[in-house]
Amino acid sequence: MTRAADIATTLALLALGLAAVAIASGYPPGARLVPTIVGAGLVAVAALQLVARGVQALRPLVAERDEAGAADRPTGVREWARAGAAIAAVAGLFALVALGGIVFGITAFVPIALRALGRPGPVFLAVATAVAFAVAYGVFVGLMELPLAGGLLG
Amino acid sequence: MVEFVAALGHLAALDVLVMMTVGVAAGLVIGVVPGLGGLATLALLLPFTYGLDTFPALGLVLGAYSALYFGGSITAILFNTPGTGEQVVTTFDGYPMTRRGEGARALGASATASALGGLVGAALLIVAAPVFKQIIVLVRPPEMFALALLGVAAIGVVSASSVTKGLISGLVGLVLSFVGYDPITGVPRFTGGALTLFDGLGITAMTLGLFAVAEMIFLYARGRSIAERGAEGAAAASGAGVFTGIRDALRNLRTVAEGGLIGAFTGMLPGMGGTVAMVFSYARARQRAPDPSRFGTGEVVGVIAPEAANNAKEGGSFVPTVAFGIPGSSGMAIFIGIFLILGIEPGPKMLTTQLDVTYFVALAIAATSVVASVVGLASATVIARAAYLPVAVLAPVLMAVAFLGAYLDTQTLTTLAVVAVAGVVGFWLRVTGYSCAGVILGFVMGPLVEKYLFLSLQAYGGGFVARPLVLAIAAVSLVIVLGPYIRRARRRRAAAREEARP
Repeated sequence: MTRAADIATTLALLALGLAAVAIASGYPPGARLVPTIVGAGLVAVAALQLVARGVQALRPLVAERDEAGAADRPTGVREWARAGAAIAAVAGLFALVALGGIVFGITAFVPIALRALGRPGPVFLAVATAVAFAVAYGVFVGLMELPLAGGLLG
Repeated sequence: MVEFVAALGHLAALDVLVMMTVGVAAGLVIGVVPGLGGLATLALLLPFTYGLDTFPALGLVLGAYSALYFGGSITAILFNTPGTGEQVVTTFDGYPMTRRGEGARALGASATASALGGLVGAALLIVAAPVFKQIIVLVRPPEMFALALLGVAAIGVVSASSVTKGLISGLVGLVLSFVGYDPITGVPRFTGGALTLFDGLGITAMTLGLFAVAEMIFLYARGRSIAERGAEGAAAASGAGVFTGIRDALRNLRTVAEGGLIGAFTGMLPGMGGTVAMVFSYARARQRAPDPSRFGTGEVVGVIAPEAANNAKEGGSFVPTVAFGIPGSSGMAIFIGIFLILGIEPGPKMLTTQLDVTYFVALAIAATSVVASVVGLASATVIARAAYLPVAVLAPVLMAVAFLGAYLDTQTLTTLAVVAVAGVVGFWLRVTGYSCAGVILGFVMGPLVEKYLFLSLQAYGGGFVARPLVLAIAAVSLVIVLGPYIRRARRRRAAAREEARP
């Protein structure tokens, strides 16, 4: 992971802590105590994370371990592009459900995502679509008796 | 005793047995998919507990949880690909055995050790429950507050890539837990006026996003088919060596018992992962072996020792979870969410009014450990094919399942937005070395931290921090947080001394 990405993430989390403190200050005393303490704690530790690299004595606190997860991180342009595609798929799924409701959204998403992320054959796609519809319809309309339409278009 | 009998009764109910079997099957199938891991499995199963009664729901989740470790052992042994990161220890000797044509023997030994280890962990939970029942009366809100903070610090620090990132992860989870109604004053906080956020971000949506969706993004980014080597593994699993492996495990009962105890006690310590338990157990077996040099080359005891510890640690990690509501592991953080969804309050009540639930958990762990091993052995070669599923198929399907599960919870688009955002944020946090387990733990513990702090201040004023037990817990927290710092500083000093030596 690049240093810039690391610093940007820490800054974002520091901003989250500051926002928590600022917003909490508008609440009654009983409701703001813990969010203020936690928000201030987040600001303090995030600030420490930012400055500790430059201070010899504090470096062990921010020293990265060789943890197992490090091997999982995407490397290279190709893997990052694939991660981007997966994130786009998540956004696409949300958009489809928002527009057409959960049953339509899931049924439409499965074949589109399978086609976009891989190269399945037409029979596989048809079966996957049918299964997605059966599960979504069965759970939400059959089992939970929810109305079929539910999206912005419905 | 009455509670124990009641728990046995619950366990014997038909619906519970059916759900446990379904859970075991799901756990085995998901367990052989390397990378999915226990946390993602639990997250994906969480929505399926809706509408189920307490005990069938617990049976389903516990069945899956026990089984997925053995599922992971199958691929660790046959394909040198551990299903969960911690099972890397099983590959040390399991895979060399497979290459030697003794995969079936390794699987038999692993299954038997895993089942027996699960029994040790369950026994510890059953024995510990009455003992903790006596101790729990000494623990008041100030101590519970301190323990809650200890849990967040421990899991965060251990699972993130650095001390500060671990602490930040826990604190981010705590901040996110404040969204929604304040449990003390009833004031809606951090909702931005959105009515759908008044009940909070939702444990289901957060868990599915941070673990299941983030995991899918990771899996797809890596892009490889899940298991790349398999022919030799699949062939090796079809032999009749399974019974030889079972005999190996039964002949090494001392190793199994030691591994089980190491796992169970390691599991009790918040933040100590399964890897630690498995490494300790492996190291102990190696130390006792007449010829330690055989370890790493396909020594069956090198499979038995870590497998016994791995399953046993689950029973151990339930001990602090049920006694104090403090998770003994990352998986237990999700279990706390499951308990809350089922209307069970983890903590002292599970040792008093809900003791039957605690005994049920212990008995279910024991039963599912055995069932998972038997079913896993019978179907190892078939199940192991799931490891060849291309991620391009797996990722969209599991994303859809995650969204379906989250929608079952609240039927609002806001929940789905939380899943999507938590998924992407979870992916990024992992990429940058933060801990999603720490975030979810902070999220789950937030309301408890707030409640116990409020009760402590009401009952004892600001002086509650000076109570002896609170100070002791604070000291342990400091050791956990600063331990790595102190160890590194010592190593640095030792290295400097070494360099200075003429």
